Parts: sequence; structure tokens; C-alpha cells
Amino acid sequence: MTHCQGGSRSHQWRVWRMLGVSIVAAAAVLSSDTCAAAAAAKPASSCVACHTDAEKLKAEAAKVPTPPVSALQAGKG
Amino acid sequence: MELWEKVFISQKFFATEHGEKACAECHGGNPVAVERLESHKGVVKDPTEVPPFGKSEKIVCAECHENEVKTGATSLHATLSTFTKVMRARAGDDPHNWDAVVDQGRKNHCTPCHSSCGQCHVSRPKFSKSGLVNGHVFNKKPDMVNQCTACHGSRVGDEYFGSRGIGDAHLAKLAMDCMACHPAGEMHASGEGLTSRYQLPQLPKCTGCHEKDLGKTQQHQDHAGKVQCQVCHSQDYVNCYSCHTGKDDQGVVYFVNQMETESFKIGLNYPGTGLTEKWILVRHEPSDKDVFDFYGKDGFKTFDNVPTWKRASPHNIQKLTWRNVSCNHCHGERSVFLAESDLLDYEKGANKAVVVADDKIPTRRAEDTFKNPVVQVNAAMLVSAEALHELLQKKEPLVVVDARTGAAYKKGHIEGAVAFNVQGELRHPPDATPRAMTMKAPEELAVLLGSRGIDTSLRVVVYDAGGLEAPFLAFALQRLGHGNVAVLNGGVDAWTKEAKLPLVAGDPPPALPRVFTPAVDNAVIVNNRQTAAALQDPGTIVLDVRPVGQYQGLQKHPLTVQTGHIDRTVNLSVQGLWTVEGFFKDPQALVWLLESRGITKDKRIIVTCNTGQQAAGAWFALRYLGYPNVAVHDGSWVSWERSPMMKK
Repeated sequence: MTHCQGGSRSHQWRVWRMLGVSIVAAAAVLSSDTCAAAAAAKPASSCVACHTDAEKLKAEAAKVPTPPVSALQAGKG
Repeated sequence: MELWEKVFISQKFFATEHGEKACAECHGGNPVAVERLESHKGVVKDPTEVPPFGKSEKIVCAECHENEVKTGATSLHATLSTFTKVMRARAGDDPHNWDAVVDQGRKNHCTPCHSSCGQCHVSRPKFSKSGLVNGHVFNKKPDMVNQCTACHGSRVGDEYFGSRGIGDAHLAKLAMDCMACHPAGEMHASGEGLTSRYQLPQLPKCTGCHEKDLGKTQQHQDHAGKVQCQVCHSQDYVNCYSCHTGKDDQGVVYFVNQMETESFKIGLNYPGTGLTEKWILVRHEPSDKDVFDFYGKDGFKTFDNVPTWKRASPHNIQKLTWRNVSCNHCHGERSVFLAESDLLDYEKGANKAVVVADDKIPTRRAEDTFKNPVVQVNAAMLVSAEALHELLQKKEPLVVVDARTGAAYKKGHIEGAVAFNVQGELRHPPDATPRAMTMKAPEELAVLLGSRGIDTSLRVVVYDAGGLEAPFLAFALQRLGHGNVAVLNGGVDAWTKEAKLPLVAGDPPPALPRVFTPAVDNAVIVNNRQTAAALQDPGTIVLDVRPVGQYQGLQKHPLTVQTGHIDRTVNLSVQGLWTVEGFFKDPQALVWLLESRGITKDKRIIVTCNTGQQAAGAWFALRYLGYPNVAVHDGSWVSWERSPMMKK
């Protein structure tokens, strides 16, 4: 694979996707910090581990205070 | 939507292009941390929302969607720039007044209506309390229920879906979603330089689809170019008044629209509407001269610069309307043209260009051959606040029943009224059986009503808060053989705001129990099996009176499991029979509307809805209008979908 210099980053991404190239492989050939960061971050991400687990989210949500809404609010768009 | 659901990411997302990106790439934060607070440090909830509305340094979508973001960043959804322009026009030239008063109010109360890329394509808008719509999957086309009408709700959405009025033909007949008329090109268009959203060049035009229809009829030939399409093709719509803003004692900002009315007003076109026709529909906008008084008095020093009755495009279009079936429903009809007397004192100057003087109203047309239906209503079924007051003053023998909740009763009720919580006391609970939400047995209800001092010897007058609880109780009493029941037209607001009569606070007084001996009228109620049989009977119409949005399966009642409707039913929203304030609409217009849908008095009508309450509201309306053979589908869709009928 060669490094694609032409086109926007979105174009590059789409080309790699169309070719069935994985994000890790794409990151290896694209001189894109974003892609490299993505590839580096994703395997270790705790975001996915929690945000795809409904039970974990329910437990965590119970600890989060509800944002205040005024009892006087009476209107919508 | 539960908090956890709002942030739950489905596996489907990871199969999409956006799902290949690392979370932190868009949202920041610390993805290697395992503890919640630590991992969320620096997280940007909406990475498509930049200051002054959000916290993202850039609109991350621009990385791939350069063209859309280029104009979308200055679109009206993103900037609300026309809000600011209107407020500046009303605030005057004093910069201190703008900074200290009006802009404070604008920032606190108006800017939350803004949207971002993400709030149209991935989550519910922040204004509607956010939450991922589809497990973080990006919708190229926004979801009309969870995104578009989550903000554009009380007017556009409720009108379109038939939650106010009977809905819009574009939805009912063609299942058109918002984007069918408002495509991406309009949504992403820059709003720079505009003073009104109606000046947007990409705005849809009726003639974009209907140009070929122009000239087909005499009405089009006579009115095209002179009268805005909506004047003839809209139904009545809601007008909001007297928005007030502030912060409560906890410091939380709020706004309150203090009044909503349903009406239909034709005004004169005024500068800046983007229209060329002389006659346009106008709607009252909620802004009040003292809307920002919380921040400083007299903020709108030049309030008269912008009308408060402004160009309207109600989303409740029908091919035939009460207005367009007869020339003389507009010609010579003062009430449908905006009059000086329709204006509040503070807004007379602002609307000078819009008001239609008496001598400018088009004259009646002698050649109009339309005959208004002759309607003989059952007048005893509906009572005005003034008439009820007179009956009470004369100490006529009657029982007044408050059909609202116990809390509402306690806060303020008509003196001497009996409390009967219709929502909680008439039906079986919503369990998983076909019995869910069906009416309790007549004998059980008779005992319950008797314990509150109600029996068949006394006339009953029921009131609610302008909803359908009162007609529901009237139906329940009819089923038990009590035919001498009336509903207070306009509900408790008619008593207090229209008739200026007092309420009293407190708990219900001890009831004097009576013996209610039921004489059950089984002709007014049918079960699932009977409803299924009626669907095969050409002499019967099964009338589904839910909003079009629910009938079409786009919206769901909280107690229903499945969306959709019973096959072979006719849909006409009950919300088209009563005004938003809870008043019964013009009987002649209603009979015309019903007959135009084939709902005629020679047929047996079975009314169905979600749980039976809306059906009872329609049952009451039809009986009031003189329909002799009307029955309610007991438990309606909630019972039907839990029964074997659903599987057929």
C-alpha cells in the first residue's frame, strides 16, 4: 500500500474503507496523526467497555446527579 | 429516556464508518483510565458544538464533511442569527440596554434552541434533554420524532402529527417526513445576512410540487399570487402569548408561555416576509414586551419595530378545509381577519401593517352555492361556565364532578365539587392481559360513584382541565344508564379565565353516599371481538381517533407495546374536535369535516384509540353532534395488542 497524498482526509478514509483496509493498517500507511491516535487509543479504550454495557451504565448513571430543571419551566419549541 | 440509554452505544455503531474512529478522537477525555470521573476528564459531550453554544474547539465533522460544515456552521439552526436580529430591532440602539438586559435574556433563554451537527444526526437536541437516538449510529436523515420535532414540537410537530388538530395530509396520505420538504440543502444553508428565516432562498415552496395544480380550479385562478397557499389550506392553529423568563429560587433559568389559544387569522403582508401575496396567515408569537423584565425593565425600547402577529406556515395542511369549501367562510367573515380588537394594548403599534381594517375585508360572494350543514346538537350535553354558575346560584339539584387528579383538585376546584380521578378510577390497570385499560365492571363503578354521592336521580356536570377526562366520565355514566350528564365547555380554565369565577383550595368534603343503581347500556361499548367483527360490516366505521403520528406508527403511546393501527380503520384525530383550550369546536365545521371523511349519521361508528379515553372524547363529540349509533372500543389498542386479535 502506498501513502495517498491526494484528496481530503475523508476521501482517504473512504478509499481505505472501500478497499477493506482495517483502521490499524490504514493508520500505518496514512501520515495522519489522527489515524495513528485512533489506532493507538481504540484497543485500550475504556469508553467502549462501559458505554456498550447497559448494566454498567445503569450502575454508573445512578451516581450522576440529574441536571436541574426549573419547576417553573413550562414551554417547548 | 433513561440516563443510561442516553449514552448507550450499540454494536451497530461499530460497523459504521464513524464507529471506526476512536472515541477520544472526537470527544477527548482519557480513554485509558478506568474510573468514570478520571476517564471523563476533558470530555466534550458534543464535539460538533462550538462556542458560544458548546465547548468544542472545532466542529469535528468538518474533517470529512467540509462542504456541509462550511455553510452549516452559519446556518439558522447553528447560530439562531435571526433571533438576534429581531431582538436587536426591538431593543433599540442603546448598547447598554442590549448588553445588560436583552442579550442576557437571549443567552439564557433563547440560545438553548440552537442545534449542532450532532444534535440533528446522532443525538436528541440539547434543548430536548439530549440522548443518543440510535445507539450513536449517525442518521444521515434526521429522525423526525426524536430530532426535528423534539424541538419543533408544540406548533410544527403537534400540528403535523395531529396532536393538535387533525394533522397534515402530507403525513396522512403520503407519509412525508420533515426532510421531504426541508432537505439538507436548506438545513445546511448559511443564514448570514437574513433578518427572517422566511428569507432563506432554499425555503420550500408549495408550488415546488403543486405547480401543475395551479389553474386547475377556479379558486386557484382567482387566488393564486394574491393569497398565500396556507390561507386556504391550513386549519386553525395555536397561538402563544406572553412568554416570561427568569431564574427560580435555585438559580435555574426557565421560561413560561402564559397562554395558548387556537385561532385562524389572515393578515396583510408586511415587509420582510419573503412573500409577494397580499393576504397571508399570521400567528401570534410568544414574545412579550416585558419578556426579559427579570434582567431589567423596558428592554424592548423599540418593540413596535417588528410585528407580533407574524407570517405563519402551519403544518396542518389539507386539500379541503372548512375555509376553502365556501367563499363566504372568508369573504365577509370578520372573525378570520386580524382585527385591531385582536391585539393586546402593548402590541397595537407593532402590528399596524398587519391588521385588516373592516373596509378592507373582501365582500361576501353571492355566487357561493355552498350550504352549511344543518346541525341539531344535544345542547344539554355541554354547559358553559356562566350557565353552570347560574345553575349553582339557583341551587339547582346537580352534582359537579372534578375529573382531574387529586392534586389538581386540592390546589383549586369549583366549590362543592366531588373529586373523581378519571385517569385512575374507571379502568383496570395496564397489565399484560387483554383486560388492560378496559372499563371496570358496571356494578363496581356504580358502587364507586355512589360512594361519591352520584346517582341517576341527579344531573351531573363534569369538568376537567380542558382534556378528555370529563367526556370520558360522561361516557362511563351513560354506559351505566345515567344520561343526564353535561361537560363544562373549556374546563376549569373557562371557569377561571373566561368567566372570572373563583376556585377554592383543599381536600374534598365528606361525601353523602347514594345508591347508584346501574341500568347498563351495552350498546355504547364493544370489546375486541366485536370490533373485529365490525371491521367486516359495511354499515360500520371503526374510527381511530389517535393522532396521525400514532396511527402511522411513528409515535407510540407509553402504554402500548407496538406501533401502528388496526387494519381497515378510518383515522381522524380527536384533537380536531376540541380546541387546544378544551372548547368544543364549531358544530357545523365538525359535521362537514366528519361527513367529508365518510363518517355519516346513517352508519354505526365504533371509536377506538390507545386506551379508550380519546375514543370516549370522540364518542361524546359525535353524540353531541347528533350521531345516534356510537360505541367505544373498550381498552382500544392497548387491549387489542394484548389479545389474540393482534395475531390475526
